[in-house]
Amino acid sequence: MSNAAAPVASAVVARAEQATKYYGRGETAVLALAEVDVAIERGRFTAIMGPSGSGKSTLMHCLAGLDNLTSGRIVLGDTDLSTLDDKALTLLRREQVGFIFQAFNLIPTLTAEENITLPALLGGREPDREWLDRVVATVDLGDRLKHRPSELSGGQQQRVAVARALAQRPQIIFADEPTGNLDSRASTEILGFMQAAVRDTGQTIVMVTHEPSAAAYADRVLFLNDGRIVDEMQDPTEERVLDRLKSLGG
Amino acid sequence: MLKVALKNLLGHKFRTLFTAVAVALGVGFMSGTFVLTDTVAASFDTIFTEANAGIDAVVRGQAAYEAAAVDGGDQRPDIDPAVADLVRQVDGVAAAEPVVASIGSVLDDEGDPLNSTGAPSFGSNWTGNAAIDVFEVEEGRAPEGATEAVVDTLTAEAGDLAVGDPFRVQTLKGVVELDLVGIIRFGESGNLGGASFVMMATPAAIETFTLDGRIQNVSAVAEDGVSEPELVRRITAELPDGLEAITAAESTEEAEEGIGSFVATFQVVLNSFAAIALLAGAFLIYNTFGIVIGQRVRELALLRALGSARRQVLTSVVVESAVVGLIASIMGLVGGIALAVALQSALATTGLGEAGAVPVIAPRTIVASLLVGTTISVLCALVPGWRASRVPPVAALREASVDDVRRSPIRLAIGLAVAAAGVAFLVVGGVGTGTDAVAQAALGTVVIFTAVVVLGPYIVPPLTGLLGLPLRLFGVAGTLGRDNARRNPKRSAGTASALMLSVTLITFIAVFALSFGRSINAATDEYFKGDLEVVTSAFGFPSLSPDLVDDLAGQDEVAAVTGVQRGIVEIDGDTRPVYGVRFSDVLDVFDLGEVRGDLASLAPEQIAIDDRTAEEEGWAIGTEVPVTYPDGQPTTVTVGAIYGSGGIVAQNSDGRFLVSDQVFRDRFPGVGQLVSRIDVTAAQGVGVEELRQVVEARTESFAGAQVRDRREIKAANNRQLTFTLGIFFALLGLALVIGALGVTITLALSVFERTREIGLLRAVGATRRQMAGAITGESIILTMLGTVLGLAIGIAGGIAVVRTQRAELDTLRISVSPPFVIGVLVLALLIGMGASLIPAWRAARMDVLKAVTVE
Repeated sequence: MSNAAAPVASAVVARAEQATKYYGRGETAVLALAEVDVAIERGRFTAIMGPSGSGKSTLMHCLAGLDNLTSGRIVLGDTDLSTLDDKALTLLRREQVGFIFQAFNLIPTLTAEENITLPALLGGREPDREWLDRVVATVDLGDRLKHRPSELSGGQQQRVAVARALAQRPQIIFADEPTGNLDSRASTEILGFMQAAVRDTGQTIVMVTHEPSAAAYADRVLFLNDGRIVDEMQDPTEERVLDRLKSLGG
Repeated sequence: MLKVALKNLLGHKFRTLFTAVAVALGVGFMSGTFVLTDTVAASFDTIFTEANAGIDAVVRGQAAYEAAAVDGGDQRPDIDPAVADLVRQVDGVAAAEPVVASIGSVLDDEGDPLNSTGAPSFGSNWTGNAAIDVFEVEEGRAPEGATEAVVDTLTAEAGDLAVGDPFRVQTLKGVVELDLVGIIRFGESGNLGGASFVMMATPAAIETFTLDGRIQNVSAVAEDGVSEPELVRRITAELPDGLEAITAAESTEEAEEGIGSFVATFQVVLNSFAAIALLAGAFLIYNTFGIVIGQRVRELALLRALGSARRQVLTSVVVESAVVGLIASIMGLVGGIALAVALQSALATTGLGEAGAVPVIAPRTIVASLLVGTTISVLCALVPGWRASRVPPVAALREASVDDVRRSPIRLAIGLAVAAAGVAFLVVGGVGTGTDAVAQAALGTVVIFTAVVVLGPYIVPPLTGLLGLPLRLFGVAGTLGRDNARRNPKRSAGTASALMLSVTLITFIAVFALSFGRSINAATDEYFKGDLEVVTSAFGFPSLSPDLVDDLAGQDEVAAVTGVQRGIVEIDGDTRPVYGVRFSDVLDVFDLGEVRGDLASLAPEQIAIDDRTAEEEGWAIGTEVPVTYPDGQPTTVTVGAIYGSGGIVAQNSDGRFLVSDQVFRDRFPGVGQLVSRIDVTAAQGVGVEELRQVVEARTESFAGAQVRDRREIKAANNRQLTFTLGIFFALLGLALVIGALGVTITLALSVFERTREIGLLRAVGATRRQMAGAITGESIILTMLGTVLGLAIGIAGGIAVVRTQRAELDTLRISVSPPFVIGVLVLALLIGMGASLIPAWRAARMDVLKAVTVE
């Protein structure tokens, strides 16, 4: 995909409109998202923060097409996700969305390189070699490509995951607590790569995190509480984020 | 711990159910066999008791020697009807009547036998004495005179015969037309185990149904106050040599034993297939428990960390397996009984037993079923359970690794040693000949199979890579399937083993049977010099009259003709099968190899033997050999000729003694004189079609007689073979089903274990179809592993065993039929696809979000 070359209608890549999500039914139903309106801007690094149960993961899963809303809608690019069936959603994820999870990001039977090119392989396409080399160089994995995940450290595994997300040049990358399982050195590395991708290639990244130090790498932080966006901050620093969280009672 | 074990079972209903089904199938097969055979035996016991109810003693010819049940049992000489008069004179005898138990097969309008169940068709006599006649007249009246007859209800129904109808009956001498004057019924069921009866008044029955006016036995009824043994004692005192008297109770017992030994053989054969199914089930349980415990390492470690003793962990696994085994056994037992009832009803429609007969559920059936099912389950769980008990508590704190496969060098060493031993046995057996060689080759096959099971984890990775090559055509889904099949070699090997078992057996049997079939056909090509063969379709029982052979010999179009009769004779102290032929013609019909002596002009006092017998016994032309024929008269015969091989006469590796057909006429009872087939060579200048017209015209009066040329002989041989193979395959089908179930269970467990992996794949863009494809690919590889290995072992073992027969069968051909191999591979492909249906569906339907967020 070469989304960069396509005419861009707006600077918004993804947006939620009146996004509402209940888990369960009837009396036991739990409200996870309450009429959330949010727009994710192209080429920026957005962090979503909030206390446990605030709905930050739910928002991300819905934006990524992994979960459906109870009401409202999600528009990714020009596509209303609620109109898509499973197959179309799958193809959309394959081609336009990248994922970085907290753990277990890789297929153990595939080499690092195969894991990186997995979405392309699933689509039956040859990966763009030149771009791939650049991504691999960015995350500094050159000599590890033929290794299997079990032969890589946790930090290296997560770098492979980042490379896989970047390799597709998706419209948007969603990262769910990407540093949650890493030590501080590896975390710094991973966040640095993500920041560089946004800065150098205009990649759009949305990251859910509960670590203020991680959120500080983002351009913009959204604060969620009780299923609502309660605040937002541009060009955050760790201290400011921490203060804000305290004031939220998280 | 008991609670933990039970909760585990309930928590994994799918897995528990499938594991239980695998055991239940085997147990069901076993219990069904027991119930069915017990029920059939019991119904025959009732019949025999009822049949002998009115009489007290039976007088019959004495068997000169014992013959095995497979050879038709003891051959008693027929007796003179006048014996009945002699018995009547004995003090204490109230009545005595001659009994004719010969052959009389009622024919339909097309001239085919009405009784096609395989049970005998009797031509018998109506004595008019209600105590002796086992039937009652149901309709019409008892037969009188030379042409009147009655038939049993089953036969009347089958032929839509009514009193007053003329009907045709095939007897030993040919087809006769009789008048139906009555329909007779036996007891409640109306029939005797599917056998059909046509009865005439005694003098007419003797005239019509026997070859030489001799009868089979005399039934006697005692006067009041004379016990059965007392009656027998008195009769015996008056009997000439060569006759014996037994009580009715003994006669019943003998008949029951005869059926009993037949039923027992049947039981052993069926139960050996049940054992194979159970073995496949055992592989499956072992593997399933192994996988499950591997997955539960953390949970078990947690239990250990929380303070449960090693023994408690082992106990919980054993309890779990015992419960599964018990549930499975009960399921199997109930299913088996239901199956037996269904089969019994199906058999009853052919006249074998009564429809809706109460199934005989012996305590032995229940005990054996529950014990076998439960014991196998527990035994198979012991090793995985022991392993579980060795899980260190600290494992609870580690990330459990499913890819942790330790392949010990000891296992490799043992496996290679066993494999070497197996190959050695196979080679020694395959190079040798005789019974020992067969045993060695068979043992070699079993040992190699064992070695492959042991070496499985080493064989699987490279073989999977090879088998997985075609899967690359299906893109990354195929590659994933292949890699998944390879990632846990122990698991894949265990899963494949259950399938390998049935494929090995199927292949082994197919190689053996197809080779044997080709060898027989090759023998027809090489050693059959004739043009036509006459056989009857009556389940291989001989039913052609020796008179027909003489009749054909008198035809101008016939250059040479011989019948083939088979009988068991005592030669030099051993009972051996001998074959009756027309010595004058036999060499113009069959090529017996190099012949020494003037075989064509041998007299009835001479016999011909094959080279092997001559060598083994050290006999030469002129050697005098003591022989006893069924008539019990000790005789000395002289070896008159020695020939190369008589396989073409016997149509198997036998045919080592030939005697004149005149010997069968003179020394065998009437039924023993029947000819199983007649082979004919055309006279000079007579075409096969012309000969066929003549032969068909002469055989018209023999129901079911078929005339075959060379091509038809071979086609019939192939049909017979296909039929036999079909039965074996059906019996082994259950083990195959269990093997397929094993693949399903393994895959389902793997899918469960790889929940997050599947979620990840789906998240990064694998479609449901691709997910299902990967699982199906893995399934196909697993089935192919078992199939390819099974084919290899089965072919190697089959060839070795067939080779051992080359001394017995010099036209031996080894046949590994490509259509068979391809058929098995295609079947495996289908099984692979079928076995993956549920796991693939589960993988495809997995909720992506739940999968990626699972902790």
